[in-house]
Amino acid sequence: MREHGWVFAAVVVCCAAGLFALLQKAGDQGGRFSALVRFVGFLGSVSAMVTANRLFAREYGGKTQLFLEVLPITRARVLATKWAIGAAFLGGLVTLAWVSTLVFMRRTEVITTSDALRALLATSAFTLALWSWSAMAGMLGRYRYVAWLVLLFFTIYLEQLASVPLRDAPVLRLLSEASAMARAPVSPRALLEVAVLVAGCGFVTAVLGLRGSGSMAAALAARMTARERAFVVAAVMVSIFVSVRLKEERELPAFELEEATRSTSTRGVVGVMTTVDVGEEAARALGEAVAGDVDSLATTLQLEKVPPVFILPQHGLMPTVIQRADLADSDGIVLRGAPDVEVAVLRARVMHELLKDLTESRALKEDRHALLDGFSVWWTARQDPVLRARWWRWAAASRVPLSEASVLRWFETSEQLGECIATALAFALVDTLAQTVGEERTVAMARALFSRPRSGLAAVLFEARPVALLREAGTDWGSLTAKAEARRREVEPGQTLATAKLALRAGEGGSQVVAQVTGASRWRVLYGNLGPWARGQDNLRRLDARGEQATLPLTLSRGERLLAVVEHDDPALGCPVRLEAVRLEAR
Amino acid sequence: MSDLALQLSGLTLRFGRVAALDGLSLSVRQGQLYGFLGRNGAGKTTTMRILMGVLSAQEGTVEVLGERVKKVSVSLKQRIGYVSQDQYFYPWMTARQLGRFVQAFYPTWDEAEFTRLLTVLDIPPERRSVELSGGTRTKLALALALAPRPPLLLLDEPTSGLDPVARYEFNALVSSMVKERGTTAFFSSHLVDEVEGIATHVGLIDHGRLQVEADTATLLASARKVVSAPPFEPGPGFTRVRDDVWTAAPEAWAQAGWPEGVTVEPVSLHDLFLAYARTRSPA
Repeated sequence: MREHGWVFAAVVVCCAAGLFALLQKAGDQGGRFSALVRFVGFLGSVSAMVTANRLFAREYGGKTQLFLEVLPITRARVLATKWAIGAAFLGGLVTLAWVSTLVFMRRTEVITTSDALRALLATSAFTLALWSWSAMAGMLGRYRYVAWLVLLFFTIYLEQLASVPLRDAPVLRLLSEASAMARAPVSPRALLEVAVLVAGCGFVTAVLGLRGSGSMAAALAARMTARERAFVVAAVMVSIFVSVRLKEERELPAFELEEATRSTSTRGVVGVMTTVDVGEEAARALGEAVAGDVDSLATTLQLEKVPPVFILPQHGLMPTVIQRADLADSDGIVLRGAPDVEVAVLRARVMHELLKDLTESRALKEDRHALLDGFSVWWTARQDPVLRARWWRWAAASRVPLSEASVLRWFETSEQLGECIATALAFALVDTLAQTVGEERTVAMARALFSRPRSGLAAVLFEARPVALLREAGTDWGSLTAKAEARRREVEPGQTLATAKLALRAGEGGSQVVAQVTGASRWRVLYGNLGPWARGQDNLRRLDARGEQATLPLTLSRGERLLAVVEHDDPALGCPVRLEAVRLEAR
Repeated sequence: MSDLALQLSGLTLRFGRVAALDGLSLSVRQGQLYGFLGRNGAGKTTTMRILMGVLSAQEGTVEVLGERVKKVSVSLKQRIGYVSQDQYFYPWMTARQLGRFVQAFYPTWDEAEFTRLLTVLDIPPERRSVELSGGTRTKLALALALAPRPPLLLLDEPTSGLDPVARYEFNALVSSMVKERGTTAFFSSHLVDEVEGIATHVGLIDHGRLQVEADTATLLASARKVVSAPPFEPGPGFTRVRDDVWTAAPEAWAQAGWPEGVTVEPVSLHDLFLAYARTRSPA
């Protein structure tokens, strides 16, 4: 122990710091033993790696193992003692972490002793399995990191290629949410898996350490030759490349929703779920409209395959809010919206998601994002004068003018305007493009930008650029936006005139955010903290307000940043209007 | 009970295609200081490691201190003192701490003897092993090996990195242990002159086989250099080792008549070592 004492002490200190941070986070978010589970998963792995490195790889590499072997003690006993020291050290570490977690979480939650013991059993069993693997990897000497990489690749393979969630993977299931909550007994199957892994790794460790007078472990402990290093680096790079390719080319099964009412689409599947509010007739009508858009887009852009589209009406959502489900293991576009969802917005959203998926999200790049948003709407509305007029009216309500700058900084523009008005502004741009260069040329541009097949790095490097496509069509951003802005100004939006102002007010213990609104009786503030890399608009909290003033229920400490947005539903427009959007920083 | 401290018979160990030992047989009697000579890679260290149980022979038998063993047991190891070519102590341990650590493995450990050896060999007891010179580390290894007062000492080229003074001190201590306590020492080296000065018996190993084994005086008495021009061949009873080095029974040398122009000269262990060790090399 003395030989490795200071390293073990450093591991304990790092683990204590890590656990403290995890407990702080868990204290904010709840989750009983979630800090312990995360601690064992990450810091436990690192500690096991360091311990095995010291007790096995380093002793063989530094030949102090030879010093031990010439003493009157059997090699098997040396090996068993080291294994036991490592297991005891990691077991002690996990037990300390468990006690700390228990004490910390019991301040705010009721945790029974039997629940706590379940968490201890699950994490200890996992740690034992982890240690047996680490010890075996340590005996592999210079190839120990290769063993860890193999484990990492195997885990990635399980999760991403074989679609086995890690919470269901052998042994890893011990760190699932069920373990973090410690509500159910530890699965006997998981314990059996640990026993099998410990036996298997223990056997390999013993073979490496004892067979041929331990010559295998001693030989493996030597430094890598340049040729071996090159081979390992090449093998790792090839593995990464192959796994990425496999993931890219993996054919996900199509999403299926048997209860949905199907529409007749020639190129794919379009289904709308029937509910109490949306009868079969209405569902079919909506489905037919969407299927028409999908079919015509697929034909025009020469798409071979179109993912299935399903629409799920759901109570409680605003008519203009549409959410997309995140499908991890299947292919498809599943959207949910209010039963009285604005159909024009829904159809545009389906096109948007379709084109986004086709380009693997490359259509969201800043230089073409406005074209994507605009084309999605234009495609659904191009042959419907009523619909086009409505989108133009919404575009006219924008408080941000169309200009080259506002189009090329589309993220900022969208943040200022909100989804509905920003999309309308993009429509105005594309509609003007179609009027200027012709529909045929506009469709050709869309084909160049959005229908390119997935063909790897070369396609990305040589992909079409909007600036070049506009130049080929005889126009440019400057003249196009100027023309669109002129048209926009000719339209009378007929909106309610309302204004809003957001400001920080210094108070006791920090700053408060105050919103002042005139011209709107009911309005809302959407707000969310901004991290160092956060872009913004996801997961915003909402405060509904009436009258002229509201204070957000939060206090900002110095340096804290916040995105705050004031919106109201304009009854005259039928579209939410964003009155103000600011990023605030408390000073 | 046999008076053999060591007996190896037909010992063979191959690492892949390379035969480190190729049927090695030798015997060492108790109380002998046996010089085990051979070139680098001849199989000396492999033999030592088999005797210490670090390696196992694939064929052949090993007898240590009268016990025939397949593999050297813990109890047997407790009766062997071992000094290797390089010392791999834990770097943070002082000589005193190493003594305490090693002591736990030997029931016969003599702490007073260990302290005496540290003084005699001029080893600073409280200095960490990483701070000791190579020579002092080797002397410390000898002190650790001798403190349990083992009946058998295995010394694997212990002096190859030492300066002349340290080498002299080391050899003197080993010789005195053999003479005063009756300890058997099996001393491998390629420094022939050093072995000639202390060894009572000598064995020459080459390519994993023992070439010759005898007590030092008899071995030197049975070999001569026969110098003549043109080359002269002494006849039956004489065996050429290489070039002009011949061996025969000591009485054969005394009784032989030599024609004019032929001179017969005594050989040193160094000459004999060169003759045997170079036998398979091109002349």
